[in-house]
Amino acid sequence: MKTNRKNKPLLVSAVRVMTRDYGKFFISFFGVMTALYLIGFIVNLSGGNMKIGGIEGVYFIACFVAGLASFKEDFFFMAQNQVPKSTMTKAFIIEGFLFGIVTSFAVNVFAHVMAWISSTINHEIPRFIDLIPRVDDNGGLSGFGRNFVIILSLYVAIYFIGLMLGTINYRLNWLGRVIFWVPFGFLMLNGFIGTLQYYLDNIDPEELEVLSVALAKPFINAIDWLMQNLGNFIITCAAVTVFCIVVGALTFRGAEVKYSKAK
Amino acid sequence: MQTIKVCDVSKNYGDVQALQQVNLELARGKIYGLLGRNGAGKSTLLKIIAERIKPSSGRVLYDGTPTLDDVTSREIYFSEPENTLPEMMKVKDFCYYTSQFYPRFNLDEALQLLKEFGINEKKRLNQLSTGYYAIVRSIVALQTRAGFIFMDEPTLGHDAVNRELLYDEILRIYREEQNTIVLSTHLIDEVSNLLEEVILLDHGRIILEDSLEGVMDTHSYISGLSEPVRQIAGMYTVIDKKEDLGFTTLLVKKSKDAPAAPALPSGINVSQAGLQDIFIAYCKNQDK
Repeated sequence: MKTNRKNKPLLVSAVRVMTRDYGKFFISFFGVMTALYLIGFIVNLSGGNMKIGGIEGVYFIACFVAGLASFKEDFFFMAQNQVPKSTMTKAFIIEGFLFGIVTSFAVNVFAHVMAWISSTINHEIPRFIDLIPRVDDNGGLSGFGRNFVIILSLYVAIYFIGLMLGTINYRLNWLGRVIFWVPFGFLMLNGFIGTLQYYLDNIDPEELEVLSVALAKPFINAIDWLMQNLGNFIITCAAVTVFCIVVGALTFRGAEVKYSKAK
Repeated sequence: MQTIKVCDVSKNYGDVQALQQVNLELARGKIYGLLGRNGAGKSTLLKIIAERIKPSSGRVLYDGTPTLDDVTSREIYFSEPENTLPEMMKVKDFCYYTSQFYPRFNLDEALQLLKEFGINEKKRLNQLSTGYYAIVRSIVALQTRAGFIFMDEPTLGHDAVNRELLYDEILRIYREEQNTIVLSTHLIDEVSNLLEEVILLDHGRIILEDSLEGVMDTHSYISGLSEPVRQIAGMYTVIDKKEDLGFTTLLVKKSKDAPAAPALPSGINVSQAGLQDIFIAYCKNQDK
């Protein structure tokens, strides 16, 4: 009789199950990214001038969406298998860090490979913009390690922001969602647009073309502060990560399975 | 884990009282039938026991403790008809990943059984018909070999042949594991051969709880001409009464401790009531 004789600790089983789709995720994600870069190479080698500005934003979005989307399905499947909430919470935290580590490593390798190809064929390619330190400014193993730490801090923080928002969204009813998401969405969009105008178009904070300059300025100030040096950046990411884990865990404590309809 | 005790559990959904101060003790090594009409509170009770939802008041004790931990939670599995499983997951992956949580899960046997039921293990869960979906979740539930397996509508959408095969499988696992299996179903006559204990729930209350043997021994039909039937009706608790053209049929309950019934007047017939008849009579009685 073939059984799960290893009788692994429940936490290990939970993390194993939560990470079940990593392979598919990375293959499809980096497949698309590779295709985009290849197109960039081909166009540029053919005499064109293609740049995929802000492509690293795709990585951020992937981390955010992974955190946001993973909550409900994983929660339901863990509940189906009677995993206690305390163990689920630990599994979510471990999974978040694992996702961050694997993604950071893969993105870092990918960026370095693309930079190497770029220098080999002597053609400019799309690359990390200045929101995070530029990969091609940090060659060698120490550069790789430095970037890894930076990207890891950022991705883990973004993943847990997504997971926390996913948890909050799950706990709210439809009215709560409207009350939460409309102001939240406005705040984020206003701040995001303001930040882009400030950094990309060099617009003075007082002259920003946003609905509320007053609400956009804190975003710019915060990003200014965290971009001042590596310490600020890491500390900010760590603080955001801890905040999101604590709020997410507290929000999750009372969660019940929400039922839709029978199959 | 040896016992699960439901203590004064109530559950409200807004103004609707789904459960009202339910008290119940489930012991290891029995097959229970949790019977009741739609909306009686069966699923709500099972969801609370399995910690899917919280009671409005009261609590559930697992061997005397109020929450499940990593060890005791391995002793419970709840299979439910609602769509709570990852829809895009393949059948074989569902079996495999469930096996990661339940140490006694027999993966080979589960896949073999699914094959015998004609289910393609490579299909995704959302590609299965209602009947096949119910088979998959029932087989997986049984293969967890957990100490307490709760199966809510395990035969939903099954054809008669598959229902029989599933009942055989329930008995086989029960004999092998000596665990507790709680079947929540509408198909009362079909499962009556499997049951050892009967719990009848209506309007959120337990209205009957006894061994199947006890239920069958204490309930019977008494029928005959109305006048003689009326004369002896006082000796019993009448659950249901039907009158037609001067002829009366009573479904009665006699006390377990009652002395042997005196000789009945001539023309009075006593016959065994089926579990489904008893169930219907109790529900009608509650409505009154």
